[in-house]
Amino acid sequence: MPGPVKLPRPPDDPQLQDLDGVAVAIARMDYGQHTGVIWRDEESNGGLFLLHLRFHYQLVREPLPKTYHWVEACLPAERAIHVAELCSVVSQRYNDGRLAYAFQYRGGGFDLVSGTLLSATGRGLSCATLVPAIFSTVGIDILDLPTWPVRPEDRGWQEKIIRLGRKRAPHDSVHWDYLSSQELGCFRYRPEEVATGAGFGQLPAKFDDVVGPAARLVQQLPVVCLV
Amino acid sequence: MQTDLETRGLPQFRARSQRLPTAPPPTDGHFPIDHPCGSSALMNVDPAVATSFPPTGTLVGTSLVAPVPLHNSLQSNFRGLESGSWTLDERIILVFATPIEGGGEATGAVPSYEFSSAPTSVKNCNLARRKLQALHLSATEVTVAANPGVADEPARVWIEKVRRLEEQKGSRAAVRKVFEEMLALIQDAAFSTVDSILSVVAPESFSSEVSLAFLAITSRIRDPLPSRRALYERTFAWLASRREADETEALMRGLD
Repeated sequence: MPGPVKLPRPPDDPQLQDLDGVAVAIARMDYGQHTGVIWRDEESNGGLFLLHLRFHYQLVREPLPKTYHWVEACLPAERAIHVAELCSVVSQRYNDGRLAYAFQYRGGGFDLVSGTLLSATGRGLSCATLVPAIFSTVGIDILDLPTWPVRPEDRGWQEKIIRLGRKRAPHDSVHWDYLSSQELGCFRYRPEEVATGAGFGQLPAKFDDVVGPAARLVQQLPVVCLV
Repeated sequence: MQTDLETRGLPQFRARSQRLPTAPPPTDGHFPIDHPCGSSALMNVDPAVATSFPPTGTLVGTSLVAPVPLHNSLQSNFRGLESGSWTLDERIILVFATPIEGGGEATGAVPSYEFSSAPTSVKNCNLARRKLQALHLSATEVTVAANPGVADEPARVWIEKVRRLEEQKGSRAAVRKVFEEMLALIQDAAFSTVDSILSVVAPESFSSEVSLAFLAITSRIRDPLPSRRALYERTFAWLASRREADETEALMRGLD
C-alpha cells in the first residue's frame, strides 16, 4: 500500500511558493514526459530551482519554469533537506552539464568511488532515473525497482531516443552504439511513474501501486513545449 | 576536489610524532636491528624535532627524523638514503621513512617543506642510523600507526567547524558543508578519513538534519565503515529519546 499520497499539483498552485522540502517536477511534451527535482536553494535567495537531465550531457539547473506540475516528496523535513542540499552540491559539481544519457538503471546513486554521477550498472542516467539516483544518494529509495517489468512498448521509445542522440550528438556514436547493443529493451522507469511514486507516504513505491495513478496523471497534463 | 580537510592536512592516515625516552648512545658501537628502524631506545631525542614533526601533511610508516646542521659535508653522508628533508632553525631535518610493517606503504607529503613522497628502504634507514651514530648526531624515531584513532584530533576540529557553521549560518549550510566535504573524500577513496569523522560525530551536538546528514551521505558506500554502525546506533538512540517511535523510524529509514 502506498500510504498517504501527495497528489500532483499544477504549476500555479500557491502551495508551491511555500514548498519547504523537495518536489518532483513533471511535464508532458510533444516527445513524451519530462521530470526533474525541484528544490529551494537557500544560498540563491531561497528561490525554487529545477535540476533535470534535458538530454545527453545536458544536466541543467535553472529557476523553476512555470510550466511544470509537481508532486511534493513524502519525506520528513529533515530528510527532504538532504535531497535539496544534494541538488545544490550536484549542480555545482556538474556545472558543465556533462552527464551522459542512458537507459539502464538498477539502483544506486552516484558512483561514489569514481565520483561520477552514474548508476552502478549503467552508463549514465535518463531524466527519469536522475530523480531516484539523487534521492538514493542520501539513502532514500523512491521506487521499488525490482517490481518494474520490462514493457515491450518502451523499446520503441528507446529506439527513438537513440536516433535522436545520433542526430544531436553524432560525435558520440560509440555511446549510442553501446545503448543500442546493451541497453535497448531494458526496464524503463517513466517520468510520470517517478513523480507519482515520490508522493507516496510508504516508500519505496511499487510498480502496481504507481502505474495506474501515473497513467491518469499523464492524461491530466497539458502538452507544453519547453525546448 | 580539494577540501578543507585536505588543505588543513588531514590525511587518510595521520602521522603522530612520538617523543621517545632519552638514552645514552650505545657504547659498543653497534645497533641491535630488531625493527625496521632499530630500537628507539638507542636514539637521543631532540625535543625541537619531536614537537615540530610533522609540520603538516602525512607520513605513514616507521620513520627516523634527524636534524643535521646545515653543512654540506654532513649532509652528503646521507645523500640518497633519505626519503625527504626540510630546513628548520639552521638545520636540515632528514627523514628516513620506511614501508610500514604489515604491508602498508610509507608515504610523505609536507608540501611547504618540499618533502619527498618516496619512502626509503629499510636498509637505507639502518645505514642512516649507523652514520648518525658515527657522527654523534641525534635522531628521533617517529612511529606512525595506521589506526583510526590517530586521525581523531583533526576530525574533531573539522566537526567543530561544522558545528560552528550550523550555529552561525543554519542547518542547511552545515548539511551542504558535510555533503561537499564527505563526497570529495569518498571520491578520493579516503574511507579511513570518512570513518574517523563518523567516529567522532556526536548527534546531540547538531540539529537532527545535520546529524542525519553524516549517515545519509555515507549510506551508499559499498564497504561497511567500522564507525558508521556505531554512529547509526548513537543517532537512533538520541532521536528515540526525543521523538515518537514512528517518527524516529521514518527519519532513520534507509540509513542503516
